[in-house]
Amino acid sequence: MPIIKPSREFEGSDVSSDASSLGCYAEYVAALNWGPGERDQSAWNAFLRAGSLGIDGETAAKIVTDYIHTVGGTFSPAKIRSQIRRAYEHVGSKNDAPGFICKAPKTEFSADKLKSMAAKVPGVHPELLQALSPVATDAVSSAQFLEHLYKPGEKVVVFVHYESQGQLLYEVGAPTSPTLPEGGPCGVWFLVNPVDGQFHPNPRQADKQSRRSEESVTSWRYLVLESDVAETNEWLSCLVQLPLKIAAIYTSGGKSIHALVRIDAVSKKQWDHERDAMKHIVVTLGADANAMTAVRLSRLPATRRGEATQHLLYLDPDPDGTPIISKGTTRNPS
Amino acid sequence: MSDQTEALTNFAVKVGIIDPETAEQIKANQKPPVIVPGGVTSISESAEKLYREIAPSEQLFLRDGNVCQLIESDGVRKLELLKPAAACSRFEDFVRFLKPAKTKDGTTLFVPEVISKETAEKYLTAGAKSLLPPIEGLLRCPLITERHGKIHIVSEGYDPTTKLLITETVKITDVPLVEAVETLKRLFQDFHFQTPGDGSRAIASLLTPALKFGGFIKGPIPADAAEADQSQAGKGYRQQMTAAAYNDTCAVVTKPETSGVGGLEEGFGTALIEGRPFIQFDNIRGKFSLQGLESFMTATGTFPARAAYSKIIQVDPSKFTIMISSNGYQTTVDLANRSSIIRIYKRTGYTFKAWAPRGEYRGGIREFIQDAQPFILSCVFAVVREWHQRGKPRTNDNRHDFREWCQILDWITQNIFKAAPLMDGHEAAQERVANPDHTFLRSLALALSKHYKLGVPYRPNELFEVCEEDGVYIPGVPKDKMHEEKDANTALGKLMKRVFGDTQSAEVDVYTITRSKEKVEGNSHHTYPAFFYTFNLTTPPHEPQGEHSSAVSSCKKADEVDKGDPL
Repeated sequence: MPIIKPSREFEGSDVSSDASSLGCYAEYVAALNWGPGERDQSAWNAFLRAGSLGIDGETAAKIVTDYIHTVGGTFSPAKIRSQIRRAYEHVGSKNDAPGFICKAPKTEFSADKLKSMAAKVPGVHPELLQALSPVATDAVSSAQFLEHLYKPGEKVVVFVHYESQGQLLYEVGAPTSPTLPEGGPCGVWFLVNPVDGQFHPNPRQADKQSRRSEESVTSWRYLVLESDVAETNEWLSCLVQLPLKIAAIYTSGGKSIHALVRIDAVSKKQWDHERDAMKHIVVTLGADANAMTAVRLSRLPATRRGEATQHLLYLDPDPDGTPIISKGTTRNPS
Repeated sequence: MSDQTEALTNFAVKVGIIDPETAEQIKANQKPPVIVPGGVTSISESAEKLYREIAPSEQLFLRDGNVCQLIESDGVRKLELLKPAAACSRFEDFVRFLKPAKTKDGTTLFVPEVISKETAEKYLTAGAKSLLPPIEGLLRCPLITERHGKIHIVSEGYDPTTKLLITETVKITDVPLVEAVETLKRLFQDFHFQTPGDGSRAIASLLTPALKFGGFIKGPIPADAAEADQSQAGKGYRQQMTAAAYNDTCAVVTKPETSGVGGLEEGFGTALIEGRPFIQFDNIRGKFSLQGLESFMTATGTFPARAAYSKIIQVDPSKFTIMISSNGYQTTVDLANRSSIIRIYKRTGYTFKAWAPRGEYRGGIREFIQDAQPFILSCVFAVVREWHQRGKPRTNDNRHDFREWCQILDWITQNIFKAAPLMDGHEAAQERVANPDHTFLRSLALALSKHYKLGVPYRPNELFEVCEEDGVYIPGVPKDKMHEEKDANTALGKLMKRVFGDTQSAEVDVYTITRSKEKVEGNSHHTYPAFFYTFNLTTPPHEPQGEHSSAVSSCKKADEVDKGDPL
């Protein structure tokens, strides 16, 4: 916990105590860690402090949300309200949580920018992408897909029911790994970052046991880009131009197309940093900001979603960041 | 920010997805905030936050209480003290500075701030800088050391135990001892060492940095003093080979034409402050006396280094290797006692072997070492491992002031390399280099030898002619009269009297000089007694051995092709 020294202005005693409390509070808030992964805890600490200093909830909320905004983060107004209420109750202060908090303006999808960029490389369609894929996609099974993208011994949770703890744990390279489901009524998903396969208490959900939360993740390797707003060919035209380490591109069995981007972060914090820096750009082009989480489920290619197939369009197990279109050669020119 | 994110951001600016300002904001937002001093924020609080963020990066360090950084200039990595003006932007590489500002409604917001030179100066003098890792030197290769009684290799990054920063990754492999020894011996096979002892000291010189930097030798190590009979013999080249084995180059200190000893001192101080581990005083002419260097060689704690326009920095002498090269090493008794003198002869007309590490000729031995550096260093480490495994033995040779160094390297050269005792012939060399008369007589003997005049009695005036022809300076002759025969002969006569005294022969290095008195006829046909001096070789020259049987599988030697003398 940082040590806050008394305000020098306050020592002069010509400043009102309210102003000095606010100064102390601002100083305290500034000393907190507002980095990715730390904001929830810092916001909670900030509201506890605000309550103990007698600062009104609206002012505290403004300072905290401004701070989160300054560091490029996002927040849920409902959560802020809830934190203020609980923090003020905890310190025995008057519960005067604000009724309304303005959410920081977020980066928005720009159809014009998407079109403009897509126009630079028009006519990118799934078949072309399959021809550009370093690994022939038509013969890749769902198990082979995982074998290509994960290291021997790593475990991947596979889901047929989205809101569950996963129906299957696939261990890469293990001869005894269970057979992957061929499909499901709503499709088949996998958690994009490898896990240890164990259940851990999730402190963000009242210590509920989970094997799909960040406590289970063993490597912060991938991030999913998917778009529900961009037109398919335009989205593909953008993806092939981006200097990203795209390891795979596949369909959802519906309209959406997912791209698996290699991040290779050493920690959740670093993964969040990378995501935050990328978000401004890819969301403008149509990526779904809510899908950019480290414990994201994504569609498992070469499985069925009802009657439709979740197609694998592109697979590069060792991407180097060169835009797909700049690699220049098709695996199968025909 | 990773390379990928940076590339994406730059791409996004290029194609107009975001504007440059937003890109800068994205980059800046990745860095932790630090509130600048002022108002309720004290300097010490702000500085603590700053240095806590910087310290884990291992890019800024603390050296003798000064903040310094690693820089690369002309391919050479060195340490540089961080000055306030440079610190303003350098700190921004790690954090973003914010200052509090009040909005109209009284809310405090934090806005970006560019720190002033004065603020940077406050940070540079704040006590919190002690949070930075202390550094004493740099290495461009792994370090072999001992931890809990076992060999430990520090591969890369900052090592808090030795306070060394390893700036490059070099892959060390396990090399069988026989192959390691043969490879290292083979590096010197083209050199014509004056005695087998000189050859042993050359091997010792190659091994010493690993033993010293790794802390196996606690005491001081001597300067590698390379001496040759003629220029272009390869004395400096051999020293560069040592640096190359450690993936480095020598920081060369030369005497500026217009400067005196001060120039050397400054050059030396600069190399020390820059943290260059291999410092070479190249091609020293005349008497070499550098008081600072003498104290440096025996300093037990720290040594005050000073460069031009810089403050004094206390450096740790144990993180440096000193090399001196000369065609006639002449120095003080103190420095002679702190040197390991390695003498070589020029091999006139000899074609040095062309080394072809990858089947392709690139140059001489030095280039071979550069190309095969990880393997060569692995060989050095294999020797250190063997010595360590055998209980770190030493001999009881006490013929050098730096006994620990002498006894360890003597054991290694004799028992692992099966070479001559380390100190054979060294005491005489030390005595000679500390004696200007003896150094002169050695130079004269070398000149006579070059002209095939050994074994012939000469009078002083004839010896003067040889000195004139070969540019050998006679001690005691004023510089402006060095070409005056009368003054030279007088000085030569006095010098010989000092050397011979009442005896008729004197030994200098590998030469024996005998004095005889004979009657000679003067101009007016009357005779008078005059001294004649005959120079002879006492010890037959130690010819280099033939090619060692190669045990190096990873490199092959090209045929002896005439591609120029690499030295």
